[in-house]
Amino acid sequence: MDIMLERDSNTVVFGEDVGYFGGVFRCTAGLQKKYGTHRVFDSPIAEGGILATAVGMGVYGLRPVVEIQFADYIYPAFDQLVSEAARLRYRSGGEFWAPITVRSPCGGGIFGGQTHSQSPEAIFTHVCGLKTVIPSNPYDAKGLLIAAIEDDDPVVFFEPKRIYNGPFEGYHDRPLVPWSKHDLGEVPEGYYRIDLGKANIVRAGSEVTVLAYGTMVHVALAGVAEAGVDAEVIDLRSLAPLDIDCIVASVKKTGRCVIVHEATRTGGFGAELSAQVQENCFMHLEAQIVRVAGWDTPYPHAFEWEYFPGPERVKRAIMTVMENWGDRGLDGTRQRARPTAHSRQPGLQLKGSNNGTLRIQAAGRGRRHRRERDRRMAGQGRRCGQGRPAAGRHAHRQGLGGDFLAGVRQDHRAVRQCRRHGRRRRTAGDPRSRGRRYAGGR
Amino acid sequence: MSSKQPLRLHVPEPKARPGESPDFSDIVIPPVGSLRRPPSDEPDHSMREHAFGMIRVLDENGVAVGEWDPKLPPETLIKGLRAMLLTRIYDERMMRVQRQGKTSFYMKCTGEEAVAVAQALALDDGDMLFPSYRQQGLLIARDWSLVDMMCQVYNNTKDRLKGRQLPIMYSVKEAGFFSISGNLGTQFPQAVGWAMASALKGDTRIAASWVGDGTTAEADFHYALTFATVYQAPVILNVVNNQWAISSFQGFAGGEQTTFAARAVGYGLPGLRVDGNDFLAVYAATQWAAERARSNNGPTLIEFYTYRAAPHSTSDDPSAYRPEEESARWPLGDPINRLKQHLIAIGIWDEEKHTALAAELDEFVRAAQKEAESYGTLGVKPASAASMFEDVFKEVPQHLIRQRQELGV
Ligand SMILES: Cc1ncc(C[n+]2csc(CCOP(=O)(O)OP(=O)(O)O)c2C)c(N)n1
Ligand SMILES: [Mg+2]
Repeated sequence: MDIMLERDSNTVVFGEDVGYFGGVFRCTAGLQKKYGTHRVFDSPIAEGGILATAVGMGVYGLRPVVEIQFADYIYPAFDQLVSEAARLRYRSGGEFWAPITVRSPCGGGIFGGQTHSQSPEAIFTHVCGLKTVIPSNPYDAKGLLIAAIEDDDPVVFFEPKRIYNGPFEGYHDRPLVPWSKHDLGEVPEGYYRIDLGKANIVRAGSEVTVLAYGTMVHVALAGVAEAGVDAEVIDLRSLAPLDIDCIVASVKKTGRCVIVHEATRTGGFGAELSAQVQENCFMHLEAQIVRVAGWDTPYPHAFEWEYFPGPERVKRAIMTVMENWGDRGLDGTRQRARPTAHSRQPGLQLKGSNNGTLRIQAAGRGRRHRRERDRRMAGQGRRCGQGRPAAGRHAHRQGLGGDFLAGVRQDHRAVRQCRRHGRRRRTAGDPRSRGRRYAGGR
Repeated sequence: MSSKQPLRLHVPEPKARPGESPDFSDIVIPPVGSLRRPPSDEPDHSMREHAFGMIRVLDENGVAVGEWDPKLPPETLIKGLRAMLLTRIYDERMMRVQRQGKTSFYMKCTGEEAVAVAQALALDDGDMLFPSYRQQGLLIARDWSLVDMMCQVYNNTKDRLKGRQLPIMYSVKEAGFFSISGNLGTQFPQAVGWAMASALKGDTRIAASWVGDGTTAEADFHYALTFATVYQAPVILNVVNNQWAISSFQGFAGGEQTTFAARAVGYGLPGLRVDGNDFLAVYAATQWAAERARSNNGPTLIEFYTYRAAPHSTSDDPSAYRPEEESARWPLGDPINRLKQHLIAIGIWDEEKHTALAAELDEFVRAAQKEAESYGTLGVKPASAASMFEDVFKEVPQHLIRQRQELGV
């Protein structure tokens, strides 16, 4: 903010307690003193008013950087953000726009109770016209914030408050390493920007892709260390725009994907990620995509650490996708016994084992089922792509889902195995031959 | 040639910042007894002076002066003193336990005790209260169990809110005390809705709600006034102007240009501005507004002029934004001292009795603390985390049962 106030006289910073005091998290400390009360000022306690006046200022030509004291208090500003800031450019045919940056501390882990702990990012990624950014370290925070302020569209910039002082790996009983003692805490002086929509591979790996952002990047890394697998951890940094290419390249490489966020699970951003990974990497997936997220409850004050999705849960999710083909529920109960060793082998080589035979049959049933369905749909003139999820759900309801999907994956594994061995033979399950079959659909 | 001058933006500034000496020179304090007490059905337009003056009863010698003296019996006066003192001692103790790490957070109402306590006593027990986080005095004046309040602060096994809420975010249905929200101002229009319901049903109970000066900027404040005046709802809407909203002085809520009570004028309801550190004035104004509401003469907005002597919360350090001596120099004094002085002046109280009462209440709070701590403190939580999946909905849905199993509780 300092740099942008310096560089661009149109930048103004305001919000509750951000002026003289420098914000309840001290993010704007010293700025009013340096730039005066006309560039950095306190506002009435009216989040809707803050956003509304920011829109007006943006329309005039200023670049407002406003703070909503806690993400939990952004809702009174919702209408101005969603109906106004986000749509202004569109509805005015490009005549008006509001280059607003909305900074707001999010996330829990500070015993803030349910009104100082929320992670509402998915609500904003759902709004077309808004960009949503969440940094995980000081270096990124600076570069991303500068890019956000310079952006001509409204950006919601969530700052995970748990990591204001140092990276938090999710071990609440261990001492915090301050950023000053951490590599990523080193922030260069002066101007630099990190373009919105560029993810960051914070740990390269080959066995599983772990998608995370904000505090959860650190938790994910800790979970990966606990799991002892060669995981690729991607810090999304910006949820909208999303660096889908980076994600897809990684998942295609690893064949597995775990998504970690602190926000509640249902309808969280993990759902969108899961959908996009599935859409783009279906033929490359070797296991179900697993989400690690906050429970679907408000953040309970006393049970913060039971609520917070820590490294242990990340580890469990990783183990689930590493070991299983989707037959183990997240609660750890096996829905159907099957030796892990066998499931690790390519399906076509499983003939010798009883379980394997069952598996192949199941896969065969899956394939037949699919082919029949495709034929049926073709007959009805429907596109496969549209019909598929519904059929999948249907199969799942009947308890066929696991077999059905496993079958697809086994075909696919076989193909990959063949490829690896240099035999470029196409099987029925080869995504390329299937692709041709589906050509009319996609 | 244009005669237009460049525009200038006014950004409010408080009179004094740290390092400067407190300056209350712009505060006009009208003499006690300077406002008449109109009948409770007086049309709002003929009592505008009440929104700009100040209802005051207790003078600097502790003598009750003027038409607004509620002429309370000694029992009520002593009850008020006791509840205010208990509130202060309770706050001190809870602040201390937070410092000891037995809970995560606390908020005191020091200097503002008269508001909640006198109002609780002026209302009927059945009236519904929609407070903010700084009206713990309401519960104390309604004789609610201190142990129960502490158990919430500690989030222990006897916390009826099951460890879910931040300390002091009480909810006591049995005492007509609505669940406190962390989101500022939401309770204000909700109280109006409750009052509308009471009127719809031909009930006799009224509602009251409280917000701070800072919170009057929220849209919810204005929804409340609009609905209250449109439906002439039987509700008392209180603004506790304690001069500060965390680090922002009341000028950032519009207090520089007019009074908060004057907000009522534009909406067409009576606005009373009251010395909030004067127990008798608070009581009398509330009594007047309650009479008005009960007799179907509609809502009232009351501004209580007071001072937040304490930090905003345990997370706050006011020395970063206001002079340290400001609270000691507050011209309206301390509400407990002022009522005590009055009781002494009318001959029903003395220093000895006061010291004895303080000691008794201190002992009472200690005993309550001991009992509450026997049920656990924050983090020392024998209660099962399984309860966190309850009450999201009336019935625990399937997906939450599964999530609970996943957590293994
Ligand atoms: C909607 C909303 N915005 C912001 C906050 C953060 N916040 C909590 S208390 C507070 C100050 C409130 O001041 P005031 O209304 O004067 O009440 P006081 O604390 O003085 O009693 C703020 C800004 C909040 N809790 N809810
Ligand atoms: Mg206040």
